[in-house]
Amino acid sequence: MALEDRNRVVILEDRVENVSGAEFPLSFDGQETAFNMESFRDSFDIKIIRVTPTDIEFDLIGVDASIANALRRVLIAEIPTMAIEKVYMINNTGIVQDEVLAHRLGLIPIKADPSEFLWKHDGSVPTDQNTIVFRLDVTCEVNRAAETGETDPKIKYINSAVYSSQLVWDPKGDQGVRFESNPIKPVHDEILITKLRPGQTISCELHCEKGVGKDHAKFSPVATASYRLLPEIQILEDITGDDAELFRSCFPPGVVDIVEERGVRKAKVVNPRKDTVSREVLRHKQFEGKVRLTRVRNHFIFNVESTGAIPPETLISQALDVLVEKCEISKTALAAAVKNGEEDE
Amino acid sequence: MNAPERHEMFTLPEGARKIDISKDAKMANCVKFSIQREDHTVANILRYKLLQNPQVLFAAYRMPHPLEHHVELKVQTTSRTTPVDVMKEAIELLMQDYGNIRSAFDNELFRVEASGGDGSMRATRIGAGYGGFGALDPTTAEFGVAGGMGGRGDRSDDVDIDF
Repeated sequence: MALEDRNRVVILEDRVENVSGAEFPLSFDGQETAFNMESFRDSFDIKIIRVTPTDIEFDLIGVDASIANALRRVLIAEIPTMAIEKVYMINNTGIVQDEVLAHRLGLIPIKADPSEFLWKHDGSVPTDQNTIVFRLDVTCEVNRAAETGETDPKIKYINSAVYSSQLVWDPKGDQGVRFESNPIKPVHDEILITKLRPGQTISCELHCEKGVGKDHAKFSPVATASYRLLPEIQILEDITGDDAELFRSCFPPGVVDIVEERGVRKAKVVNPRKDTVSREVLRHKQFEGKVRLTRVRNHFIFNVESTGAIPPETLISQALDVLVEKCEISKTALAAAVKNGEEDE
Repeated sequence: MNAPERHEMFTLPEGARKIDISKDAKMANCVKFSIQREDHTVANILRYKLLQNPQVLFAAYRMPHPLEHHVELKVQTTSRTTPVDVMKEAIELLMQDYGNIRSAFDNELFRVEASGGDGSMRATRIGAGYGGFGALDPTTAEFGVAGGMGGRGDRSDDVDIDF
């Protein structure tokens, strides 16, 4: 690997080269590649591309894969949220069995700020500080107002389908006052929980607790949290005329444009970000030696989609806080381990 | 029935140490750190940071078993320092890194939110050099409200309620 190539993953027609990084001391003769704060500060950057109430796209530039991956893993598994953990079934005559129904209920994202709640450890009693209570009481009946011969169950029956909007929050203690401005409810109102037919009824009490995605996926605050490396298309030799047209058609629209320079039509890469790295261009003989596909090893394009319980930009901050906390725990634990070791000797 | 308790993944058993240090009898300046209740998230970044240090001769980690929730990190250094010292240094550097990332993210968020007042401005900014997969529609662009994250998580005055 050449020194200038150390930040590029090279994509060839049948394989991928330079997969692992070489950002280590003494990787290159006479070159300083060890970590230092100044060069890190120079190369490091974050760019937010898009923020909406549900998702965020941002670029994390100049860090190692291990750091980007730690951020992704923490987003998925270690940021606490509230989710239904206990279902007390009082009556269930519906077609969906108790345990299946309870599982479906558990997966409903709940809009509640987890930082307002305490952890509920094993054996501790439910209090208004660690538990949110919902009630679900539905009975399906025949709709007397429906015309005879009606076949649509939604009109023929009342409560033929049970939706997440039918969960009723039951504020305990001072919860009613604490969350007055922001009442606790499921994030989405139209999640189908189950279907019922006349005479069937469901009555249950649901307890939400604080948890992390490691424990169960229902606690994960993200729908997706992923990153990809920025694609890069290097044109080594001018591609002109009809070849330029063909070159452009090898990439998704918007990646390559054709510009006219001194009467010559030339292919120019305008937005490599949109590239899907399909390698179509490598199939054509006329581009052999003229193009090189790479990915930038330390440029991570993060795409994080929140389930709606926590805004996406807050998720990133929280993930970084979790990572710092982990370092702090390791630091104190290490000091304790050293102390213990000295006592043993 | 025999399923392990889910919380075993992240709650440290009573009396267990978070980190155990055992010296390698066969190699000089070589130590194995057993870190309880951690996984690739922590071990991989530590390994990376340790390898950045020119005094580190060897640093690698493994998860001995998928049902045992601990990682083993083996570190060998030159005689100029000790594995424990380079480990301390690595953790310190990582915390600095995350501090940097955190402040850079906050600054960037502040910048984007400040320019968010004018949707068209944001659209041009984002259009410049990026575009992205989801082209931003300036008329529908909205920001999530980040407010209301009060730190009440540390409340200790538990009030028992009737259930």
